[in-house]
Amino acid sequence: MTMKMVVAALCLFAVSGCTRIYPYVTMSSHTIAVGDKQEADVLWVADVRDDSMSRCHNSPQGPKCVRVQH
Amino acid sequence: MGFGVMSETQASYAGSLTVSRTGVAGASAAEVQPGGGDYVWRIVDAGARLELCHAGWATRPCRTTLFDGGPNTIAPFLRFSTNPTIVDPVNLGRGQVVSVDANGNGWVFGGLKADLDKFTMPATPGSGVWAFGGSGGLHHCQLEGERPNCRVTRTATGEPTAGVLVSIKTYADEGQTREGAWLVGGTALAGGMQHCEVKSGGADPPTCKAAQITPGQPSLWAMSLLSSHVVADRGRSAHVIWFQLPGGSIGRCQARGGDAPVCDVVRKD
Repeated sequence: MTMKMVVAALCLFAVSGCTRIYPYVTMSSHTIAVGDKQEADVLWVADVRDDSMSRCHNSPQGPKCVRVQH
Repeated sequence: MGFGVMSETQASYAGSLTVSRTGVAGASAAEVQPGGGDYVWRIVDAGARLELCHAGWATRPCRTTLFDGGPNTIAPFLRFSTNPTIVDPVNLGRGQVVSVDANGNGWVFGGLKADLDKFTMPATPGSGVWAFGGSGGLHHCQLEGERPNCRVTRTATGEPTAGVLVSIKTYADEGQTREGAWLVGGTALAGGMQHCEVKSGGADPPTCKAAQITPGQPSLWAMSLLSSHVVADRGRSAHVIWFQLPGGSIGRCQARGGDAPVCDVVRKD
């Protein structure tokens, strides 16, 4: 019984302690020149949930992220 | 001008999540100033006072900083924090990021230093630091004449501001050097974002503007910073941050000059 409780506690800790609530990790962020004295900001992020990667930028319609195809 | 790095670490323990954000900001002056860089901010008296020291002040090299013309009245909370706490330098130093609660008390989120009495950082004339102190709230501190002084941040209508600091930048805007800070949450704007800005070397207090947020957008209180930048835009500068929310939404906030700051989340295609 005691061993089962220990195992259950370890499993619970493993699940709760390792769950990420923020799935994205910044890979790179920088500005690029897009004109005379004009820049645009770019963000590259990795999604740890499925190991995918996206590139984010600002657009006239608002911020946009485009998933990079493998 | 206006480069910086903002890092963040997350740790969960016993079901509670702790987020530590550490900022490093820098500014490069357009011209060399005599004595520039020969200043240092420090916290003394076990965290009760903020001082600005300069080698050129031979008789009294360190001077106590006033908060809105008076002394700092928040007692230091020795085990976790000091008040005033230097939040972030503007000139090539390191600082701690803290938040203030609904009562205006400052709390350190992370990055504790073992010996706060000897916590110092370099600074240059005309550029200041952001600090929690005085009677509460976020202040911008700089040398004014021969006296270091901190001015509390307020909204355009004079309301005090509070919140968790997420990004600080120094940038040139229409020929002036400005210092800006993004905050999330706070007593005046629960769950929202606000941007505070001050003209470097000026006598006006920093003013904060609430960000315009898209209707239906979730609260940003739990936001986690992904990056921050100063973006040039035809002679003006924008203070931009990217963030994520629990569950996986990504968003972007921008503050540019006199425009109202805006925040928006990425829409799913």
